[in-house]
Amino acid sequence: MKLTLKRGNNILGMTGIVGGMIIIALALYQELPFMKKELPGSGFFPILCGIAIAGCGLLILIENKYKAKKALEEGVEDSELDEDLVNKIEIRNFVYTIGISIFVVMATPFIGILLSIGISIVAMIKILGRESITKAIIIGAVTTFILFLIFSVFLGVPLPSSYIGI
Amino acid sequence: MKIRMMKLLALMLVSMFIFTACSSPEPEAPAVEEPAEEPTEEPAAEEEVAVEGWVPTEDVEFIIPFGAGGGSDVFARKIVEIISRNNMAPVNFVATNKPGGSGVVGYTYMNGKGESNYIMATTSSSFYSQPLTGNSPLSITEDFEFVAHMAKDPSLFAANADLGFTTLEEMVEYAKANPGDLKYGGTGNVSDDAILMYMVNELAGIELVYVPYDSGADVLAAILGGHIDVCAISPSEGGEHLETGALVPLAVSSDDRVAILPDVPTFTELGFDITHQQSRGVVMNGGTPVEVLDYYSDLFQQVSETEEWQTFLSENVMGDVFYDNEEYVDFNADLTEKYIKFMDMIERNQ
Amino acid sequence: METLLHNLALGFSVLANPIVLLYAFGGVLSGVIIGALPGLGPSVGIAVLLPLTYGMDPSAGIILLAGIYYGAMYGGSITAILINTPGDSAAVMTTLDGYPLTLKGQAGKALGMAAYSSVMGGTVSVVAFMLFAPIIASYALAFGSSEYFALMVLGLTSIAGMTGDSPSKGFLAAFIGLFISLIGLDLVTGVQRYVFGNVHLFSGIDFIPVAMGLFGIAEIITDKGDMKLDIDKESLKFRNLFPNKQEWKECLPHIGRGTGLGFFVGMLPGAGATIASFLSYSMAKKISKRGDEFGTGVLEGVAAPESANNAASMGAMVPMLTLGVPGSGSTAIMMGALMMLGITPGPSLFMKEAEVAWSLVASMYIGNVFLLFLGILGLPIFVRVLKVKAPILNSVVLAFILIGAYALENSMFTVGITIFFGVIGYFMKKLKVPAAPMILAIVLGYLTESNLRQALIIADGSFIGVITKPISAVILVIALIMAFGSPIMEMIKKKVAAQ
Repeated sequence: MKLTLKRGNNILGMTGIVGGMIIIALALYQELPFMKKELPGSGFFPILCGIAIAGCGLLILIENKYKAKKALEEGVEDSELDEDLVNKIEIRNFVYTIGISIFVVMATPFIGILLSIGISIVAMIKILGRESITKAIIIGAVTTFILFLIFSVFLGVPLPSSYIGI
Repeated sequence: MKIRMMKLLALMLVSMFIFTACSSPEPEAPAVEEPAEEPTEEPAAEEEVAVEGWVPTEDVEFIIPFGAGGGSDVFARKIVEIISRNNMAPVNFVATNKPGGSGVVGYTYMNGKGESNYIMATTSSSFYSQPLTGNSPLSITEDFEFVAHMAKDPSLFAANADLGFTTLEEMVEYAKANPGDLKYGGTGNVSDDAILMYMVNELAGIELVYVPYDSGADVLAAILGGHIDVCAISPSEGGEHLETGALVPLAVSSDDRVAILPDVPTFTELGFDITHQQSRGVVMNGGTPVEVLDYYSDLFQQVSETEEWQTFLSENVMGDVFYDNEEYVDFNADLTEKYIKFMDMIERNQ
Repeated sequence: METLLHNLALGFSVLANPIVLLYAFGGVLSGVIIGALPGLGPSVGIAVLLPLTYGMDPSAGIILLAGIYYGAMYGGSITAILINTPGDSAAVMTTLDGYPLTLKGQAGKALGMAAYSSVMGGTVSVVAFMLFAPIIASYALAFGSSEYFALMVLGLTSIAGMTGDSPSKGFLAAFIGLFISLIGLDLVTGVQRYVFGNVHLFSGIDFIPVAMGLFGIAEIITDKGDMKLDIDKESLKFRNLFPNKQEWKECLPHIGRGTGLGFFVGMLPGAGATIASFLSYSMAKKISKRGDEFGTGVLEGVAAPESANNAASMGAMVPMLTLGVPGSGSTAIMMGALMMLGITPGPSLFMKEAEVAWSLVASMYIGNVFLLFLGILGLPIFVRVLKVKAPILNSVVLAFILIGAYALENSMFTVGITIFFGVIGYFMKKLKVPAAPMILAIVLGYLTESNLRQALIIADGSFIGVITKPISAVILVIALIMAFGSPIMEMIKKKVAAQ
């Protein structure tokens, strides 16, 4: 089953509605008062946002249906709504990019942020690109060194401590 | 072509590097106002400590639980600067900002380091207010050791000149006749500013209305623009505007009159039992050994006796109140009690 | 007028010292670099380089810091245009038309226009600053919470112009952004909102990591890597960096308007370059004949926000120097720096410490010239960046983003937020939900709410009282016109045409 933009929009719309309701529910759960002493309380804006988000979700569903109907009427075969959302290259990029980023966050307490980032650069170049491993390592090392110069030396940012001290 | 670009890039980086290298070593850089007067006391005291007890052997992390440029930041960095400029310690003190959560992030970070003799943090009003309002997982009495108390920030109660008040009395009179009319601006909602207002309300029997702002600058803008009527500010923030007369100082919350504002009465003089000021001190993690606390306490005492520190305090209108580690523990217990009462008071009134 | 020239001469005399010039240049250079780095903006740059000014001569110190400030305003646009990653919040608007221009192979023009607009906006503002500072500043104080609320509403209405094809998606993004800005400790009551006890969320979600994720990381993910960027060398040649006559004709009015608007907004304590760039962009879009094309790569869409943000940075200095009330986060830090150097900004600054004040003014002229040179000469280098193969460029940019996110608050949590919004940003791109409204809402949301609630407290709970104050009312009416004006005009036109 193709994941078309049309389906994606429907999912988006429904998520909006559900999301909005969750926001309102949480506001009540956290006891954020809508009004307090005749003034807007801490729950005023959040609840309004929740309603608005749900409302927008609904509008998206309606808009989606309307556009689909219009495309049908005009006999347009391959409208934007039928565009397939699943794109192998992008998904690959997504998994690796986010995966590597998460790796950096997790690895920092152990091997320090500079080394993690260095590894991430090499990994990304190797996996997503076609360079040789040597070139990748060189770029990784140089970039990490420059980052070190800029952030640690020039800006004096205290890098997070780790077991190996960088 | 590529090589040329690389060279240019390298040149930029190198010049940047040189620029930094030339300016970064702070203790050596200021050729302009290098204090020729080396405080003569220090070397002797330092030797004393080195011979007797514990001495640090690693660099010390000095945590500032707030962002750059703020009161805690300036306070901490001054201490660090004085220590390094006068070579008061055998190791470096490194000031690090860990802002967030009104101070909670910084304290939990320090706490996360466990037993360490090389990490400490500054305290201010939020050190008390956050745990007591349930916004911090740490306990004031159990998770901290008290090193030294260095200064007190008095609060200045001021009014917009257009209102015509020249004394606190007049304001109180007006407020009594018009309850709910006067708007009082302060930062945050459980801060010392708020505490001050509620105390005044209770003791004077009036009803000032609290308007919370995000920063002292916002409060200042609001009162100068006439949007609020009275406010609490620190004397240094108010500085200019008190002189030009745009703001009228009504009372100050310190024990004695403030040097730069000799004509402004203290609350006590006016019959109000209000001497609350923001305390600034240094704390470490609970469980730190006494010898360590003693060492740092002595070190900070030396800092407080330097001329640079005294100048700093008077420029920023802070009171010179030093307690060593033992005195601070008692003082802290007292202050915590007070804050508990304050938080109750705020809750009652909100 | 005589005294003015005399004072200016005094200021320039300080700058005759080569060391001071070096500081000015160094400040601008550092500012541009820091501004270009995703995540680091002028505030961070000033705060972090502050220690360098310890013990410096006050004039030199403030010149350095000021250079960083407006250098960063321009720097942010570089990465915004080249890789759709705004270097700081004030550059977000520049991505909207800057990046499409790069995709069309006109990166050189975009960068050139950004440089010129920034410098022109900055220079004109310096003149305005010099002439009008004291007078204007006193009016800025007339803006209280209700007036700010109105201003925020005006800013929010510019969302209407960013929704693209699907208004409901645009508004969804905006309301989600609005909601995100509310997370944290409530200003008025101090309760935790949607925080669930996580201390890192107490101060709310800062919008810079969100922008880095939504724009930067999402961009890296969706980069197909097969973009054959046809930036022919021609477009980079020096003379092509000068917009041609036709383009000047179109852009100059926008630069003029952007400067005026930016300077004024910058002066308001609390509103800064970011809001100025938003307003300027949406105003340009409304007024320009090519307004409908905004977002596809229109040079005017770069000129307007860039001139506004530099003008705003000058404007922000007005209340800071003349009244001792900082006009933005960065000026607040600068004020702290000044006080540390022994100078107290305020009404008597220009009298008591005339040398400092006027040398600052003089340095701003020179600093803008430096900016121009850096912008033009540095362009070939900047554009070279694009020639780098995608995976390499992406991995390096990702590295900068991650470490930059950390550097914001020295916390890995911020990095986590950036990654999280990178994921969200990806889904948003897939589903064609525009990201700009979300960013705008995050920036303005919290301020809108806090100002409204403050205004209501001051007005004793009367909403009517808030919106009927003269300045607020005027601004709200303008907002209404901008929001609903065009549809109503369209309807009227149709009716007239039908007759």
